[in-house]
Amino acid sequence: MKIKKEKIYLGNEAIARGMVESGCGFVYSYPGTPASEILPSFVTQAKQEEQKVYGQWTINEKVAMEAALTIAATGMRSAAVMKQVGLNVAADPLMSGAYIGVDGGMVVISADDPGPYSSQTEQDSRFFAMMAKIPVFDPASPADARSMVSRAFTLSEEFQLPVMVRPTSTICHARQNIPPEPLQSHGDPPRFNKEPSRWAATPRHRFVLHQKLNQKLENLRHDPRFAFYDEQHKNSGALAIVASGFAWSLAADIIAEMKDSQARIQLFKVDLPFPLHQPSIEALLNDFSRILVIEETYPVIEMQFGRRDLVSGRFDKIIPEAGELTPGLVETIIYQQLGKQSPTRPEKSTGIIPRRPRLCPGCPHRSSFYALKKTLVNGIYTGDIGCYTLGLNLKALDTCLCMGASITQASAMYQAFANRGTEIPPIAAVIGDSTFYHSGIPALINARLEDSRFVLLLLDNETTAMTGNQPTPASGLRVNGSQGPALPLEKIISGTGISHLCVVDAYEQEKLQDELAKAWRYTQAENGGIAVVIARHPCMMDSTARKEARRFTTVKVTDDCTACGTCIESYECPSLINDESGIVHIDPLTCVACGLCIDVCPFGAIIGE
Amino acid sequence: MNKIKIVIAGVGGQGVVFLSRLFAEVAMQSGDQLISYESHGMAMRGGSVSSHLKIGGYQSPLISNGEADILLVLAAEELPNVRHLLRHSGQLFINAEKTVAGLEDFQTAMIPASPMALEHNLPQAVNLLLTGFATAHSGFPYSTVQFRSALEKMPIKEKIRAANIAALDLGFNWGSACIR
Repeated sequence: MKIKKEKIYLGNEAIARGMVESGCGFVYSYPGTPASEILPSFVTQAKQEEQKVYGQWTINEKVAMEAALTIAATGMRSAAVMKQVGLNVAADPLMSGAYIGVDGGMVVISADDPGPYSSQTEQDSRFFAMMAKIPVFDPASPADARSMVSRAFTLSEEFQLPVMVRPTSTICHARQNIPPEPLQSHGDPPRFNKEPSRWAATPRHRFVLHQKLNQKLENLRHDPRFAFYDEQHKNSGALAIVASGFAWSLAADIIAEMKDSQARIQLFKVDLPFPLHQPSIEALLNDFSRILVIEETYPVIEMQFGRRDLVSGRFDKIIPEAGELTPGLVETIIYQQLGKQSPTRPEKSTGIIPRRPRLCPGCPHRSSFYALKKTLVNGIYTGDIGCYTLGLNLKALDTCLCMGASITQASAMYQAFANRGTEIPPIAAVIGDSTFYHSGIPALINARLEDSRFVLLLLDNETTAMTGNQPTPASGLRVNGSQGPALPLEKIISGTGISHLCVVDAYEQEKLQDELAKAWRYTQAENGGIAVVIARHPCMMDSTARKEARRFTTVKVTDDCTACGTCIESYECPSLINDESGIVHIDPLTCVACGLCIDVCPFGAIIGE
Repeated sequence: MNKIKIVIAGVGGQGVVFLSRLFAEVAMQSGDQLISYESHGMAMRGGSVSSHLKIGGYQSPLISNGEADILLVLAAEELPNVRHLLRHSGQLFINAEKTVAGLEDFQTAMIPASPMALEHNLPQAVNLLLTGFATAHSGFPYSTVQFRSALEKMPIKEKIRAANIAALDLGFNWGSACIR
């Protein structure tokens, strides 16, 4: 057998590698940090290995879960890939799918974001697995993630259950050199055995399925493959640390660099946090008087120990109840538990605010937000999830609840004021194109049925920008680069019966302001309703778009700059930089010379040449 | 086998992530076990970006405060966000035009990489300029030749590869001249 040379894999690529090696043929995903790289990498690696696979950027995570469960019902291997908040969207099919089970192996990848860094919550997907009653692996490194994906497929087929692999963002975005394993073949053709009591189970059958599911979990709880402790490690004087995933990696490195830690600490790695191996729990409780559980982000392992008198962790607040685990934090906790002083380390400088993320130079959203604030003055701007959530910085967004909520929030805001007969403020929903497809469409239909009145500003940059520019249904492009049917936004919107709809280039500030003003008037007109303005302009992450953004040779600031700070505050372009005196300069390295900032300066000090 | 901890810091768009990948490639080609981590997501939109790289059989890619042997700072304004990671008498390589105060605890080497990059028409290659500069120093674990050979293998456009190699050489030459 040809042994391949090791390669550097990003955690997400290692997960994709695990799928290819396991002969997984179908992967469905909706992009979301930190899971976005998995699907494209799966498709690319499968192609390199000459494996025939199918991958799709689904419209949302619910569809991804449903599709993967169905593929698995035909006996083939599949996966549904998402971020943790995507799992909320996919909860319905997951809960039901756990009862029904699978035939071919089915793996759910739900990537968590402790911190959180780019999510609405730092929820723990392992808890979700527990609620759905499915097993969940917690990888500690990219290499671990790769092999756990493979083990998850095996386990899924053996127990006829969907199995979750829950990487955290550090694992997804870590890189490591890994030697690839040979490919397993799972080339069985699809078959569907009609079995209504399973695939179409009524509540009566569901009860039976629930009992079967419980039995599977009970068997797993005693499966020796998931033992994390055996008696040869008995060391009753020592502190037992039980950890999983990235938390284990942190603890392992800290303990390795401690002097004579061997005598004082025993570290145990849990691969499968749920269901937790019962004999290991019992033996550990018997052999150690002090146990510390370190895990991210909720107390899943700790809860299953069920002994707060012997086990420390998040319940007794030894480990903080929120935020990600850092090397410094884990080190302090371990030393504290040993009754020792942790090493003195330099502190992070205080008073330093890390540079906050901003929309890119030349970003069309910035122009749209500027127009929105100019026209719907003192309005309520309901926001959504994407790059444009950064409109918060520009005071052009007031809310951010979850994917697709901007439209319902605008509609409900309208109802709140209209139903009480009070004066209705200008209301605008701001949503990006990909988010609109994801879950804005049902919200728009609902708002339409409510006969609500608001402006819907649809920021259409023709891509899913936040997560790395995955295609949207407007282009019909597929993950493998092939062309599928395109579903333009306008057609979908018109289909709801909305008649006030216009498309403007987001770079045409004056026209955009005109259209937004018209839209606002329409919402107030006698026969008015929802008015949609699509502000369209390609994302600046695209190099062609960056070149085409250049409307001047250079844009610069003249001596007329009074250091008033208006441009910095109300426009916040990363290329506008003020020195200590407040005088503004333009950074030639990042400026795309779109000149959109020219109109912003109240003194006409920004000029384009 | 090297055992070394490196932090790379900059702002979105400066190529911190690319540089981190390149370092990983160099480490692997040298037969080292590596694990690294970069910040993604919102950080990519012009915000602070940093990358941790641990070489020599570590489990976690994250570096504790005061543990980094080497710190590369691509944007001087990012120094306050990461300086606590560098160990006492660790090596700091920084892209700055004027002397930064309060670096007595470190071995500091400074290069005005941003104006140099502009001057040589390599605006996107501040990252490689700083790296080339670092490779000229004796305390640096990998050579400019190793970086060049890793660059040859990176899946990038030829034009970008050429610009990166030019920047690497430019930085190295500047570094060598400084040392002399």
